[in-house]
Amino acid sequence: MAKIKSQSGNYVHELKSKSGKWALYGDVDAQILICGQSHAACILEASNLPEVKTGSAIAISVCYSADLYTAGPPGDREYWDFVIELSRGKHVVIVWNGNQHNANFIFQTEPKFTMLGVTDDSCNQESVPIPRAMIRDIFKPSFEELSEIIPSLSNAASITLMNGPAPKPLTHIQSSILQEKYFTDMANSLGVDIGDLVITSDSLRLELWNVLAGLLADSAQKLGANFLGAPALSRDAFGMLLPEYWTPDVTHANSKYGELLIEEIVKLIGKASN
Amino acid sequence: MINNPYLVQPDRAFWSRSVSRNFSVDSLLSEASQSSLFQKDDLIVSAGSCFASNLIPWIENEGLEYLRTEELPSQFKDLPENLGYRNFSAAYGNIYTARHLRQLYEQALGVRVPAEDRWHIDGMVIDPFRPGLAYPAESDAEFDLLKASHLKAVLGAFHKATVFVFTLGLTEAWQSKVDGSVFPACPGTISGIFDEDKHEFKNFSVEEITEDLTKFIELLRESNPRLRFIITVSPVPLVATATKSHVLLASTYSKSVLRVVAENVSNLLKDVSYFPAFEIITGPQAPFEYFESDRRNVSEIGVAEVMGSLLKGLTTSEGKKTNPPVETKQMTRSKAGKIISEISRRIARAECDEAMMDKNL
Repeated sequence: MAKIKSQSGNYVHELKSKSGKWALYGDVDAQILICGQSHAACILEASNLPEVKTGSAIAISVCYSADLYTAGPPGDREYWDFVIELSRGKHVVIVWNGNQHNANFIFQTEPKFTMLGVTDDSCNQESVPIPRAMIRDIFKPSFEELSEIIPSLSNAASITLMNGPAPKPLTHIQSSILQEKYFTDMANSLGVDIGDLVITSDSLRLELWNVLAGLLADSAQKLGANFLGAPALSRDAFGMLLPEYWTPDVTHANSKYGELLIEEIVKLIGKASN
Repeated sequence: MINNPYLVQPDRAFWSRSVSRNFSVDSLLSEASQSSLFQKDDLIVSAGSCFASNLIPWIENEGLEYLRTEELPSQFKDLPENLGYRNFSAAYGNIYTARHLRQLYEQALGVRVPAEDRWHIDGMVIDPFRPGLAYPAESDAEFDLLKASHLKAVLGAFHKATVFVFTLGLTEAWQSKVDGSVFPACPGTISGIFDEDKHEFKNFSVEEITEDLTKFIELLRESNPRLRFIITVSPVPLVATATKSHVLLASTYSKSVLRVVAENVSNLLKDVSYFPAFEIITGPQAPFEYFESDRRNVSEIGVAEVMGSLLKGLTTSEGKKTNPPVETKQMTRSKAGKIISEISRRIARAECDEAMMDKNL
């Protein structure tokens, strides 16, 4: 852990991991330490907003990539070792994955499938219903690492697991993908015109995301951690992420969503501290 | 010169000329089936004992279409499955008795609702007719959704097929005392709880099995009138008997009954052929190596002999012999599924890599 005050864009970090790949943004003495994969980025973004900096009674620090523009998302061994070093006496919040439903199922599969709880047209006669237990087994490996990480944070004051934001609607995803040259080129290289692929229905992606949230809540319970779901305020009546919290991409939420999360985290930690 | 009917019989009618010497598996096939049991454009469905599932890779390797109506998306195909349910056209698994097959079709048609249609065990809702499914339902609502879809897939396969291969496996079964529903396994073995007030052993007779198979074929032909049937008898002996007999005696009884049924039904109904898998493997002419060392499981050599003979002389509907295509429809679907899955994965990864490169920063 190297104490070097440096900068990545507008973000100042105080500490870096051994190789310099990972950095701590914000106050080293902050009571709350946020870590985790790419969905943690919206909290980092929000924590840098002036209104959050001045308005929050409890300071927050975020452990993320030192070079925000070229590094991949956090998650290697060095990253978690860095988090472990920083965690003593802190309330650690891990934003865990949250994109597994997209990684497997952004596009409608062949044959189409559905599951109990899906309410829209995808649950029609042509779709194969998949047992929820089978869906869980697809996602389970993505939670296995938590069984190593959480026990190693035994010096933390508390540990909270958070999932990613609710899914965005199909129309937004469609335009995001079609506008991104990287995606169209990548699909072309696999012999597919990305415009021909059908995006999985909102209802099915929502239900898959619900399964992920359930699995994370189960992991939290099993490992003695708290669980914090996506804020109800961030979701529309159907359950999707409200447009005001969208980034232009397919999966992530913006700094406004990060602000919501900070509020929820502060509330939860405040309760736990009392 | 004394005349008698044997004088006009061909060589294949004489043991000394067709078994003791000059034995050929092809000579076992009837004149009618010797040309071809399948045509290249057939849609083939199979059901029966585990021996029936051996057929599928051979059919597909020949470039024939094994009809599948209950396929999983490629993302789920690597998950574990028990007892080969998904080996078959729909995920019905092994169907050992003709009664089970008939009842399955009646359920799919909606004319039969079993009294004992589900078991609630340890928070799971188990299908008594597919008790070993690796992923049973977790609620009655999920059970209803999965079961309805399965029965629809059964109907889809049975109604769309042009050839139905059924391998008769057993005469012994366990059934409901309430309504005679036949279970594929004794309750309490793979799943469920055996209850002697509700469950009983049944050893079907020639007459009962002949009636079940005949009724099944007739009922199915009401919806699929041109469907051809190939009936085989599994050469695999019983793993165990519930009778008081020695398992070898029980097995001989069982196979004898099934062989008679196959003969009866193929003589009785049009476009029903008997294929002699049983004789190829178990006849006195069969090499010792056709069974594994347990003398129960058929060896790869034995399976190859049966399948080679079954698929001999493939033709198109125009009667021309064809070469197997390089890629079957199923392979094409599977490849497309994998590509879609790969694109999803790459998009999600790329977005995670770039989460902080968002223009809001």
